[in-house]
Amino acid sequence: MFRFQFRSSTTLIFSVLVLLSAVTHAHGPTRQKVTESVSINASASDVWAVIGDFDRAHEWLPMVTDSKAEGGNTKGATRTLVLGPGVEIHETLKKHSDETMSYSYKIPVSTHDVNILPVNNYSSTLSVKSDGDGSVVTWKGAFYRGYPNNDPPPELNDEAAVAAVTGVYQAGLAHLKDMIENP
Amino acid sequence: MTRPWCGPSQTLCILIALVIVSSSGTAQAQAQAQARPQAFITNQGDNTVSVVDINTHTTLKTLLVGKEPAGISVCADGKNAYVSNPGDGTVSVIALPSLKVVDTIPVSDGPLAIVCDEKLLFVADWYNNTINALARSTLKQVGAIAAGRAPSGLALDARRNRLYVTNRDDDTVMEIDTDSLQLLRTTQTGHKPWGITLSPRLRHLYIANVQDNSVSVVDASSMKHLAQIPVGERPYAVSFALEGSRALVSNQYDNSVSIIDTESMKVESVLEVDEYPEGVNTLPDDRHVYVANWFSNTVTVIDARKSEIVATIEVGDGPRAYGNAVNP
Repeated sequence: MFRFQFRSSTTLIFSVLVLLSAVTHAHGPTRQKVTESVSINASASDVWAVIGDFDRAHEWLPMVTDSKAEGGNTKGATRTLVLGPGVEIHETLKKHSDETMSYSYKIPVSTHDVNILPVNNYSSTLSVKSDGDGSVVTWKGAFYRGYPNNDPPPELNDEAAVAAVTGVYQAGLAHLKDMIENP
Repeated sequence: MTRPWCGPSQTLCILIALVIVSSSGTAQAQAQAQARPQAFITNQGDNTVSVVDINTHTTLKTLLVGKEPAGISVCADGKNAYVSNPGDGTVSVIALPSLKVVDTIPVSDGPLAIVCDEKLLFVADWYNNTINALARSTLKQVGAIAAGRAPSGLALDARRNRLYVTNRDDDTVMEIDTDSLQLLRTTQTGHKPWGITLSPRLRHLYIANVQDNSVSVVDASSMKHLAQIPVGERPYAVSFALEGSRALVSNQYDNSVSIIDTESMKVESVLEVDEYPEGVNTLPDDRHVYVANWFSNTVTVIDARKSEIVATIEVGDGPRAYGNAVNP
């Protein structure tokens, strides 16, 4: 499932020709949000042991082949998620708590390519909470669409941004659940 | 002085006079009472405005407006509230105190910041770098002001006929004469200025600089940049409380509100609120403050005197309440 998604997003990267001003940092007027959750038949602490380290995302995120990270779990730490040759997403850690089992990170605008993920000013929180005998992992994202100006092309509009992030979260959480429940 | 209805009894005369005075006073008081105790929370995600009773902190009514409502301006005269809908380029007009949406009019491509004075409605357009001035009586455009790039915040000083505009992509604040609609002065701010509010006492403009995590303080009289106060991450909007002695700033990425002592111009406390706090509005008691939490679909009520959270209100999806959301 992931392979297919990855190939289609690669196709998107090379087929979409969108001319964006390199200097613009504006964004659409309304931020979008996505929340996805998954129940996992394992304790919250066991799940946190898998997802809790900012620099180990490649170990459970299906679309990520490698992760280059610096700074561990301290605020300001950075990681580069490698999705393929030259296809990278750069992220910065904002907040990390083993106590609440959550961390928040963002994608700085300056290093982001909307052709890889069609969003701007993306920020996100990943957390796990106990739920009965098991746990629930929640992944939340807040972001603007990829095209900052009026009349966005369909592949960079609000719907495309929400669909892309939703797809990543659903695929990631489904894979995580499978990984933990069916080792 | 003859008062034919007084007759011989002075007491009766006074009584009648009292009844007349108090009945007209009551009608007025009723209108004000109905108009006053409400906050208008724009819910971007479900195209509504939650009307919240600020005495009980409960939602009275939910109004359907245009697409993706964001900005709000409840006019000082208590007759109308105006909502900007960036999703469909319109402004919705709410009549007060009836709480009816009486009109939704097309204005421009990306209306966001909005503010009304007695006669005019100013709407900043995010894409077109203009501020459109509409007559409140006709809802027709009567003028347009060229702003900087991505005008994103408006503050009005109605008594002095001044409008202040933050230009997000120019890092500037502009002073505009609301009579002539002319630009008067421009001042540099911090990086990516967004929400702007004028302090009641000192007439200082407090401006949230989204991308350098600070608040710029600009003297509205001299238009000089006085100070830059570090706050939390991605500050969004500012509101004053306790006679302007405190400024409350929402920090979107920190899920917090910084409370600034405006005398020392330093943050004296930080309160944790819900996720992605945006619009900040002080209630008429000048003490309690509403913070709209965009991600969490809640409004946090802060007691500025005690620096503590006293209530949390459930509202619609994606509350922003960007602007003046409370009846004066």
